[in-house]
Amino acid sequence: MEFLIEGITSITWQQILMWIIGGVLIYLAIAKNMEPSLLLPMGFGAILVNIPMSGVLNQTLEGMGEVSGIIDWLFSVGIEASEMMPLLLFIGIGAMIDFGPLLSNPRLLLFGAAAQFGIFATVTVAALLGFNIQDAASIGIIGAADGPTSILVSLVLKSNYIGPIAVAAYSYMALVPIIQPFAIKFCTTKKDRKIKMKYNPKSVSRTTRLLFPIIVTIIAGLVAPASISLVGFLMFGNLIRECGVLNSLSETAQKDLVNLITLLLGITISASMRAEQFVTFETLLIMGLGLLAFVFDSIAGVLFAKFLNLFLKEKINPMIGAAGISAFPMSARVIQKMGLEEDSQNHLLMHAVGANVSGQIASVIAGGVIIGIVGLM
Amino acid sequence: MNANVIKSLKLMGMGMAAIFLVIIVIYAAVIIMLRVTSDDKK
Repeated sequence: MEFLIEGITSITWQQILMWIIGGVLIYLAIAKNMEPSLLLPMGFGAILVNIPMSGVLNQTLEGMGEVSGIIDWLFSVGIEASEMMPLLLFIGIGAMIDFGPLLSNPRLLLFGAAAQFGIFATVTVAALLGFNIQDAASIGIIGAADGPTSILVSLVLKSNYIGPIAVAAYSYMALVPIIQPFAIKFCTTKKDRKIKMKYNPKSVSRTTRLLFPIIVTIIAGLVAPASISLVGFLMFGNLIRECGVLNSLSETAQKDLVNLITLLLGITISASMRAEQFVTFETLLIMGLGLLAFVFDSIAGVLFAKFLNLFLKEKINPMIGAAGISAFPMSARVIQKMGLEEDSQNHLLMHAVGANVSGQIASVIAGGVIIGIVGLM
Repeated sequence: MNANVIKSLKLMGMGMAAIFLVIIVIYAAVIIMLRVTSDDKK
């Protein structure tokens, strides 16, 4: 009867800690509504993979030899082999995004680029703390404020910290409404935040909407070929949305595909949340660095807008720069709310949405650029 | 200075330059598209 208590006697304190972490993620998902579609599966997965001799993981059983576990199999096929899950998710995200506000005011594209600075600043801090360049780059990409990109980059760069990076990326995305106001107030004055912006959108032709995803794919592919899978799948989803003849596919991509992949992605990522990998001092460092990346992103965006204001007659509200991160649409909502708090007539939503979707494009380009450059180092 | 820190600074310079380059080219392409297709309003 010894086998009945074998599980209990094999428990380690690290595994119990992971159950608690899993419980906290489930609590945040349900009670605080923080990215529930990912934090809940990740939380439950963290419990599943940290049960001693868990059958969801590959293991060697006495008399049976090597036995495959479902979560290890999902991780190996769905993520490790071809990054299929995060990439397929991009088709759905592309189908969800309306690039109209960006196309009608294309200079907002620049804010998406500027706000990626947080990624690189965090890479340097991580390197200073002793991480090798692959791990530092994977940690920095948390600043892309884009879960699938973070997972994909850390996988391609073979980082040892995929689990903590995924947890940090999704947790901080949910915390954007808390992190960004703090970072924005840190580097703006009340006068800055009160700047009003006229909204005079250029009308966007159907041809432009159709050509945009194709042209972005070609340009990004030519300049940063490593970004092509990320950008290409995002833009493929957007082309399905804009073409007007694939409404049923567009709806499927936006709802069913995204739901299915999200459901599996969360629980699959938990394969990298085994106690022996997760309960380390580095995990704490990564959580801290992830927060820093979001703060750096927001500050870089704001400072870039202030810099542009030196040359512009019609000033830009610097808060728009902070919307250049990819956390869509949370960041745009934060900026709109902050604008209204300063002046009830200060409506910044459409400008912020434009900068925010630009951040979506720039973050996937950043992911590809990092993969390309680090691969050459 | 640590080799990884030097690599990270190099990554910062090359990475931000590449991102801005791609975005500026996309920006130019969008401006051209908006001009060329201005008669074909949605």
